[in-house]
Amino acid sequence: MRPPQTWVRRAYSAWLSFWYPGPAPHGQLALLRIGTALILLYVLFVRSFDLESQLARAIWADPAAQAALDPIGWPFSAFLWVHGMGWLWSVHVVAMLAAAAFLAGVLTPLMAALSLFLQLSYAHYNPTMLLGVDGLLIVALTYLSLVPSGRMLGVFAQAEPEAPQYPPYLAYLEDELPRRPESSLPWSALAVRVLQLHLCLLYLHSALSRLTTDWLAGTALWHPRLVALGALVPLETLQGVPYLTSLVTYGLVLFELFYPVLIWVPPLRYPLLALALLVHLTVGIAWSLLPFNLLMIVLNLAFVPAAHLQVVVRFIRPLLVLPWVANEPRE
Amino acid sequence: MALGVSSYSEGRGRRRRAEPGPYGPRHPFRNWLDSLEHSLAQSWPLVRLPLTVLALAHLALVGLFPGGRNALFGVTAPDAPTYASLFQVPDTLGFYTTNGTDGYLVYKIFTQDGNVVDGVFPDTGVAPRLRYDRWATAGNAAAGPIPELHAYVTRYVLDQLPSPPLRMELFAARWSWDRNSLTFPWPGKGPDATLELRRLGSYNGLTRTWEPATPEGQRR
Repeated sequence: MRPPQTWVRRAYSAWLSFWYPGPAPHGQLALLRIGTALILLYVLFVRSFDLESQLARAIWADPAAQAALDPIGWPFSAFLWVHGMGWLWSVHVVAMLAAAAFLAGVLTPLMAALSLFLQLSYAHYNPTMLLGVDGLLIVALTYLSLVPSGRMLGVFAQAEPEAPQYPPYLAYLEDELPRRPESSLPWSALAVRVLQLHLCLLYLHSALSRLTTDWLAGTALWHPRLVALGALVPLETLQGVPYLTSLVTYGLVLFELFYPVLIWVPPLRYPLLALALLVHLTVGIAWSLLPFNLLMIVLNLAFVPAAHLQVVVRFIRPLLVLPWVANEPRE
Repeated sequence: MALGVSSYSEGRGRRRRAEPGPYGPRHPFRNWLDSLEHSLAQSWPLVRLPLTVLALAHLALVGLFPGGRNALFGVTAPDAPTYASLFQVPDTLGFYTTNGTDGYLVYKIFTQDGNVVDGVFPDTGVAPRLRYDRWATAGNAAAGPIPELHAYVTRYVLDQLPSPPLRMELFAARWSWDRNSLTFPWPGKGPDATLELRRLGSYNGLTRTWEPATPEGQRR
């Protein structure tokens, strides 16, 4: 008979089981890694168009302006340590190679840390051109640099670390897939938990920042600057239906406001994730803000149960034709 | 061998080859990583609780000082926690224009052949959108009260011109619009928007100098 647990021990166990909810979610981390790396590569590619004009020392990097705009006390940047366009391009190429290696799953903690350092270098060197997508990339790379995310769907991928648990409608897969031994560090689950909480904070801050006149009046989407940039949605038609635009505006604010709370209610998790997918895809496509919103969708994968994502990984793996990615046991 | 870790001394002096494992060839480096992970896992019971406290402290800083400053209580974080500003993403939808970041620049160039050319920074024709957004963020920052940036933007615009102008005037621009025209009882028309301009300074092509606008000159 087990001795009764004191409330201190129960609280300690509950605390630890909250922060370490399960074994390392390698499939989840792999999908987070691939999504983040693809968007990072695109952001770096687009940077290439204006690399010299954005980062040339003589134009933007005035020390006084930099100090006024950069809130960090120590504005380190790799671009401060190199001189000349050749070196500028060299650092940029290194950043792209690191992102490509991270995508391929090569030395993922190291490549994520290198990519993070270089992202911070871009941000610190010219803080006037820092976008929301850069901040999101910094968030994602920070947590992915702490965990091995290349154990699955990567060139050095080895074995499936845990036996997947399937949702009821996919239970038949359980018998078809081979079981693999577990070899993992528990802090991978901790990193995903912190990412989940961080995501909630981002949504909460975003909702609070929308408590302005434009959003409370339900007219934020008609800001002249936003209208001037155009959108794929028929703006003229929408302007004729004010009820609808007010509904959309308030709906967006309410979604951001309630997301941090409702996402923790298990029965509401998938409906809320579906809503997040709808919101981010709609905003991303209609207002041409795809990189940012796609990255938000990728980060929302942190809330999908890891065991369910293993099923997704199982379906994705055959699509990757690289022979070394499919790590099936040898006959 | 314990944990399937191969001995390094066996391969010394020769090129190490990937050894077959139960799930395919395993490189010695991979084995070394596994042994490192195993030794770290040994100390796991000691570090798991402090790690959660660290994670909580990190999230508290991010939550309380999202930009290095707590707007609710008007408290600025000391230098150390300003690292939290690295994780600031003020808008989870990407609508940068609706959070007070809608400023940009308008310039007027007086060319040597007597023409006057108006321009907007950034150019709305820049594609892809991500590229435009980056310049728009720069334009918003440059429309703020940092004189050094005004001079730097002017220099950038001048670099793009085929020939040096006689004079160039730089203005900060911001849309002022009647949002009430779209609220109840909805007259059913678009916003009546006007562009507010504030003069930032001028570049003299003859002396090749930048002259910031005085407070009186800004209102002209």
